[in-house]
Amino acid sequence: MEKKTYSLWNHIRYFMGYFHKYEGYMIYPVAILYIVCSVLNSFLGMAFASAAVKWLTLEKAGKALTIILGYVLLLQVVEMGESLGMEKIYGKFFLYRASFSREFAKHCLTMDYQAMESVEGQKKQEAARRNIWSGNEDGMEPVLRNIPILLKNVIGLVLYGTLVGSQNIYLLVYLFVTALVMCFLTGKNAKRHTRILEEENKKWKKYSYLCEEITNVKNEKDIHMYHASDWFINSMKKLQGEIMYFVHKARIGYFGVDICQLLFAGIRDGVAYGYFILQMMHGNITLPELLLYLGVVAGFSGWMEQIFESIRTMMENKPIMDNYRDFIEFGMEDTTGKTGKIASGSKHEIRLEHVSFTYPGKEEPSIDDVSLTISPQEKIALVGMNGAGKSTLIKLICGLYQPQKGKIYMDGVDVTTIPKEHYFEEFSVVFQEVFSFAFSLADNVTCQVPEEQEKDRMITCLKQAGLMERVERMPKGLETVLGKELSRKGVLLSGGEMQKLMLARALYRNAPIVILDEPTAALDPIAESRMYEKYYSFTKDKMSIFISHRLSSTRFCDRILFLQDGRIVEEGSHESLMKQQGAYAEMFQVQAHYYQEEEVLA
Amino acid sequence: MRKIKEKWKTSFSYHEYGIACLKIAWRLDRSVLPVGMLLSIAGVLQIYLGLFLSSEIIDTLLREQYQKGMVLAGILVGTNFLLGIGRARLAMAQKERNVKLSLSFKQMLREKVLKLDYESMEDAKKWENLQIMNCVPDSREICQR
Amino acid sequence: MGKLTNYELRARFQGDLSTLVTYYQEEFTAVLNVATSVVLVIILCCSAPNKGSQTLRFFSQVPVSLLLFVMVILGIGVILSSVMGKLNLEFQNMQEGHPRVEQKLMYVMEKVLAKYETAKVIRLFDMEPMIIRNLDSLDKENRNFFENMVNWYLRQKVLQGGTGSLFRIFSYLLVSIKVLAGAISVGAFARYAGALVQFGENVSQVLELEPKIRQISLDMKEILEFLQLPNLRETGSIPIEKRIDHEYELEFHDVSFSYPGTEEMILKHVSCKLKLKGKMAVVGENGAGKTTFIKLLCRLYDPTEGYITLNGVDIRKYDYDEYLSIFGVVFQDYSLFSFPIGENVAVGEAVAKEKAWNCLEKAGVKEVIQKMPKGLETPLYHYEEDGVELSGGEAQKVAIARALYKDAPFVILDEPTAALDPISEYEIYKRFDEMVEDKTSIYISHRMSSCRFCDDIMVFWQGQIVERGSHEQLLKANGNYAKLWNAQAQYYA
Repeated sequence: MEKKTYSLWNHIRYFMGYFHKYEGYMIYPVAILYIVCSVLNSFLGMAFASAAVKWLTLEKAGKALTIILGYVLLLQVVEMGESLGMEKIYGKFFLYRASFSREFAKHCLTMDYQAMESVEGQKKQEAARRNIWSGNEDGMEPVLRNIPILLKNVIGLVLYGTLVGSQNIYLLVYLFVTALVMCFLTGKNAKRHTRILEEENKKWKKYSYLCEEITNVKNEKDIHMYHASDWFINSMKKLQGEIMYFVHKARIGYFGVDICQLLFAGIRDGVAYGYFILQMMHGNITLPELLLYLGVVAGFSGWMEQIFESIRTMMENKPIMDNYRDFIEFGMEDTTGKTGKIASGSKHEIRLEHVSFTYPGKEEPSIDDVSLTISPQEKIALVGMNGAGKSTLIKLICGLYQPQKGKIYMDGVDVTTIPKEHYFEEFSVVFQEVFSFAFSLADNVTCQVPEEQEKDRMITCLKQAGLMERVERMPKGLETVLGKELSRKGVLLSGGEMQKLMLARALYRNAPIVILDEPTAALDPIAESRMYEKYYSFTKDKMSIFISHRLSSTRFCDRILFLQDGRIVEEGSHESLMKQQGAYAEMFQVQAHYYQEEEVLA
Repeated sequence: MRKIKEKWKTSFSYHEYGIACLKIAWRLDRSVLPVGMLLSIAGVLQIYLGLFLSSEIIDTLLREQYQKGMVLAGILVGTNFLLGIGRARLAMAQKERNVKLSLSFKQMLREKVLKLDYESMEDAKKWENLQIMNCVPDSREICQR
Repeated sequence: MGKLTNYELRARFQGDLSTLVTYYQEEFTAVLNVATSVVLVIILCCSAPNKGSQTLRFFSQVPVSLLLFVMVILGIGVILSSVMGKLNLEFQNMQEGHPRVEQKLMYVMEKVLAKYETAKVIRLFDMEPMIIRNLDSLDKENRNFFENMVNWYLRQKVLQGGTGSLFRIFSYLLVSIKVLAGAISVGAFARYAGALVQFGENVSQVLELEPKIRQISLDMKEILEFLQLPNLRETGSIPIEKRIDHEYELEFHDVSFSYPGTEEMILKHVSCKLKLKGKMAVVGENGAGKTTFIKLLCRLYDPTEGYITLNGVDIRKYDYDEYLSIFGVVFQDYSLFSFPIGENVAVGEAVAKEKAWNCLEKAGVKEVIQKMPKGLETPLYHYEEDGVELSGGEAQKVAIARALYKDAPFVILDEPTAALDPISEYEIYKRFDEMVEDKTSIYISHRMSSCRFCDDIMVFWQGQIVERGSHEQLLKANGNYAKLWNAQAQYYA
């Protein structure tokens, strides 16, 4: 998979580009306040011991007390400034991330379907999601938030570095070098841990899987009936041992790093104490100065560590942002040169010429050189075994997929030249999977924003679909939310009602071409036959294409296409196909013979 | 007065369950609690030793006894180093023990689930209990360093 | 019923047993620390002044400094307890609301944006403006909530920082006065100031830890209760007689059943005897009680009224595990697990290879499994590195093989063919004749076609057996069975 990457700077500019639209400009003064207070706070806090010793050794108690009081007060103010600034910064970027998800949503809803559905698209989307949907520590939020933190630490480092350097340049070099070594070691260890985690996580995944399977009520019947408990518990024990091995291995690494850190800090403190006490002995510095420098020396590595920490956080999150940008640019609809026009809402003829389609990563084509003309008002049934290419053919016809070879024409116009949204308008499709969104019923039926909804027509459609009675019983009528996901007052529809909702949506759409992809698979026989009749009456004066593997439905249709391995192998009416005694007839026999009074097949 | 006492008692009653959990931890792994206590003691010891020694250092230096100051500084750095290593080792043990405890606890719950009958499992209230189990995060998710 | 969703629960749970142990350890550290600092503070307060002005001496007297310390602590305590209570309450409300918000976002993400099944409908019906409109109103709602959350943290910081500051100002003043009054040395300033700061920090640490401990303890309470649940099925102890001839006779005696806690009777006064070594079918509309019938038979539930007997003895008197061992069931929602296929068939680590292959062959998947790189050792699903995914039909056949491997006298198939196309369906039915040989088999189905294979058909209707007999008899009777049959058969006539 080719993936474009950007520099960190480019990312920051990109994500800050949307920032002001959602959050305004307040962030800048807040960040400056935070940086100032934060540096002052660390410095004043560190120097407090030194200052106290200095003023407490004064003879004048009153003056000493006033100064110390003033100092402490200032310290409290900057501390408060730092923590409030930090909180505000966290809050702002958090809110920004939450709002930013709108940009992501827009792309998800408009990107090319084929690109989205592909394995690549799904992977990219999954990866991009992390940028905005996996908490405060992933993606753009920590990166943006770390900018002021990084600035503050750089200023602090420069300040402390100058102070140490003014005393002894070698000490500064030692501090700098050990900090670098520590960062190197920490980085190395983190990488080592990641490597171990990769192995460990496999075990965890299996472990969590077991845990969930055991507690999943769905499995309980099988676990009971087959006495599977020992099997599960033994596996858990085995996994526990394996996990602990990895945990131990990882912890040893951290222990090693800790020891190095302690060693360096010990040497540093020993040297610093020795050096500054000697300086004091020679009268070069006073006790308060000694305390100040000891503090500076001890604090120096803190700034360094935090800088590396910030940079590491940013670098770690860079790939996440890369993924996001990669997804946002993936599957963008190319609208140039789409000038084809069709008469909207009138009757159409569809013609396929030598159309082939292969799913990415597959070798066998799913649709192999299919040519077909469907005249207006014709009723087509597509039949065939699972995997014969029925659904793929449907998706090609209604424009969700583009064929790799061959062309599809609507009224003689090449479909690829027609803007997608115009082309889609000509179709009313009901798929096998029935679902509604947790929005209002009206939104679900009309699929339009409230201003555009035609209420009267909606009610007519609901009546035709046989759902109006149910709607009238709903607490808020047409505005009732379906499903409980977004509103606790939402209403749940039964499977049958959901089918009716799909029908109402298709009716409201009122498009000249109707496609039904096994809309009744989940129903029991009686409900199924009722549904068939409804669909039949609704498709009377339209072109319709019907998929089913219950062959019974084919009897409504003018023409039956029997698909096998992506090709149309048989074609004709039910009667003529039965006469042919081919694959269709065989399949029909297999199903039918259960239902016939006398044994047909032995 | 009694009322206050009552209130006090009820507002801390959750420790009862907390202690029950500690008992389970003790049953599952004898070393978790002692390791934790040692770690606590070492931590506190380090803080207050540091405070004592540094105030001594300031006083000796004020009295211009530089030699003694050096010695005290050496002791401070040395104890910090040793206690630091001790704590690092204990922390390592604690982290490992915690993961193990977490795993053992999960397993213990699953053993109970497997022993339970189907009817109890399908019961809504208990079903919720089951879901709870899957939602309890493990120590790995929480103290990932 | 207000069931919590998985997500809400996950958000509620802050940790498990090991987290609790860690919190207690941290609390122990803090308490130890506070105790030490209190000792130091008392020593500090008890040091007597020996120089300085009148006022200095007054404030650094032992009783005065002790009194001051106690008063400051009490004062801060009062402030904290009055404001903190309110803040904590708000926080709890927030915590309860948060999962709901996150869950909504999750819904939008998972079910609206990311699913390609919905994506095709969204595009074909041009739903984008409508969805964006809905998302915007949702965003508004969420943003409100998030802003409140951010504000809460700000206020909490102010309170915490403010009281902390008050305490530190007081501490430094107290220690400074003591130093200036000559009660303690200059160096001791570091010690006592340090101790006071430690005191403040660790007290607030305890205050922070307590709610966390409370939260987890209360959550754990539910788990502790769960650990106490009794097992409802440990009633009997009679072992099952092992019969090579598989002569087991099961009979329902006036059995009624309603799910615990509900009123509705799912089964009403069912009495019947299961025919030995025959092929039975159980048919009926959705919700007629077919599956419940099987659940009772397998003792996954006990009847509310009436009883079931095996060879004349109430099944509750048998040892539960042994009783279950006479059934090999393929449920409609059967589960296979992410272990090697062989282990899945044998349901355990010890796999009798020949037997397993035999069963797989009978179930009709031997060829498929043989083609796999590791044969019986091939793990299922992606939880293992080289795990394979089986198609719906193959998985079902493996589940059937598992039932056969168990070699139980009763084989039950619960809608085994719903996921299959007509040809595979036909194949399985044909095979099943050979598979069950001298066993008793029971099919449950709403595809009526399966009934033609069976000698004995029970028709369920609203929790009762309304008809029973062979296919021909039932068709002639022209009752419920005939109605169901004709609904499907009309298209093939």
